Amino acid sequence: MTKLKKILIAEDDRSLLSALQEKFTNEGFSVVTAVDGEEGLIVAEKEKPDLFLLDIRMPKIDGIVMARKLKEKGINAPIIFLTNLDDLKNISDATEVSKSDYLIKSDWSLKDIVKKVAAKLGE
Amino acid sequence: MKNKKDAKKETKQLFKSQLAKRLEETAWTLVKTVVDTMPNPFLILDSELRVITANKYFYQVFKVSPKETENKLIYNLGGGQWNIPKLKTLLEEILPKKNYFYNFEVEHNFPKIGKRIMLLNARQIYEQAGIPKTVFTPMILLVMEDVTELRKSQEKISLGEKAIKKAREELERQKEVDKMKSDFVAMASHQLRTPLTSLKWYSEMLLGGDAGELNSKQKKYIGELYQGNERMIDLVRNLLNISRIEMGKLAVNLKPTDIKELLKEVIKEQAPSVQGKKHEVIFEIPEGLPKIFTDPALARMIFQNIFGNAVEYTLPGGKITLTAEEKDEEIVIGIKDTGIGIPEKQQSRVFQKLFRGDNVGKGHRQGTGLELYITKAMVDALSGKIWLKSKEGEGTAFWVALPIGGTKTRPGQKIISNPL
Repeated sequence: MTKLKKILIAEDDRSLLSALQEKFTNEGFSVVTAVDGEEGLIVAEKEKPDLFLLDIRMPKIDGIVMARKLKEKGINAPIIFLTNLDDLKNISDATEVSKSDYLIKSDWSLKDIVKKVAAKLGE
Repeated sequence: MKNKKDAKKETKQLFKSQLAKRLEETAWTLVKTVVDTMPNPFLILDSELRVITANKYFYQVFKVSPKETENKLIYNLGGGQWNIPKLKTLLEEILPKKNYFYNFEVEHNFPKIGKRIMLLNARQIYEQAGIPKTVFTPMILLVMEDVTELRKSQEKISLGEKAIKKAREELERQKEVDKMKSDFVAMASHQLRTPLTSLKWYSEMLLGGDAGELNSKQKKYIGELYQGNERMIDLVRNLLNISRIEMGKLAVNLKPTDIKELLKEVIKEQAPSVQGKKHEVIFEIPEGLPKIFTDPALARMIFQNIFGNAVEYTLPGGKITLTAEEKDEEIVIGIKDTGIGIPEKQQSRVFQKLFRGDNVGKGHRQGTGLELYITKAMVDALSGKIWLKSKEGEGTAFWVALPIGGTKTRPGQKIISNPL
């Protein structure tokens, strides 16, 4: 049996974080979590996840800065931004970091987020 | 001998003095002629600052006569109107120091002509005229220029400049307010969306059996919650779009777009509702249409809204036909349904905010009434056109024409290059 794919979810809203954590665990992923960008960076170095699912607006370090810092540290696992901010500035800031996907949370069902992550990991 | 010699000398001297007198007269006439033709008031003063003469313009401008001017000290003219200490010092220094002054400005209420602003220029004149001092007594030429009107118009210009500055500041303030508004909308939509997302995901998990199987009643209730929540999410998205449209902040991000592919995706997304209502979708988009330079995200929303309405406002078992053709540098996309139609008297209002057809009965989704307003604004943002034809009880057809070559920028719009 192949090793479980590990994803890091950084999300400061605990209700959303636990929904994501539960869904991804049920779908057979190994899930590690963080509630802000700073914690996210520490967990990333320790856990070496295969993919990042990052909120943008978070305390301490936001998702965009966190993504930039991951790059600086040479951590190149794919990143998907999952946020409820959809103004252009955020989109272009996010896409400047990587050509990663940018999903509006309220427009995406958990089922489709799981599909998106699986597709990204299959690339 | 001596007498003869003396007589000769006398004659010579007489001749010399006559010559000098003639020369002085000639020079004087010349000076007066020149001075009279000058379009500025002049005074010629002697070393004691007594007026020797003035030119025509002086008399005209100050409405005085030669009699009340000539041989008077300048300080005594017109009730002492030139008795200004600074001017006195300047004038007194001209002859001894061979000085001159330029553009000394005097604002004074002159007895006969009222308040005027005068620019004064003065210099000694014998040297400039090339006449030796011995022949011609040193004199001062005092030239005046009435700059009252000029100053007034300058004042007007500066008032105009002030008004422009004020307008600029107002514009800056307005921009600041707009920014605050748009920050507020972004923030509010974010804050609203977070709990809506929570509702969406947990009800999705309940419906999907992640917390164990639900009985049919539980499923129905949670399904209602889910649908109601979806409507709230739509509403927040629409409000956000409207606030962007109305603040002129609708971002347009152009790239070559395959409209056929885009329409296929829109249909695929809405396949569950199409199947739910047992509609037939007829896809009559020809091969070989050129890619159009447009914003795929906005174009997608336009067709999602029109196609979504066709699905919703057509009774089950209806027919929805999609067509496209290239025409006059544009691609015209048609979406035609066999739905309930829009009453004729309401057709002119379909693109207004909160529009709802009078014939929309129960059993149809409660629309937000904002979709077509947003659709029209997005079509406008893409320099396109939208129009419709509808008959109550028979159906509605919408057409959207998008320019193949791209979009013209309109005021208040921001075109950005593709960030990807």
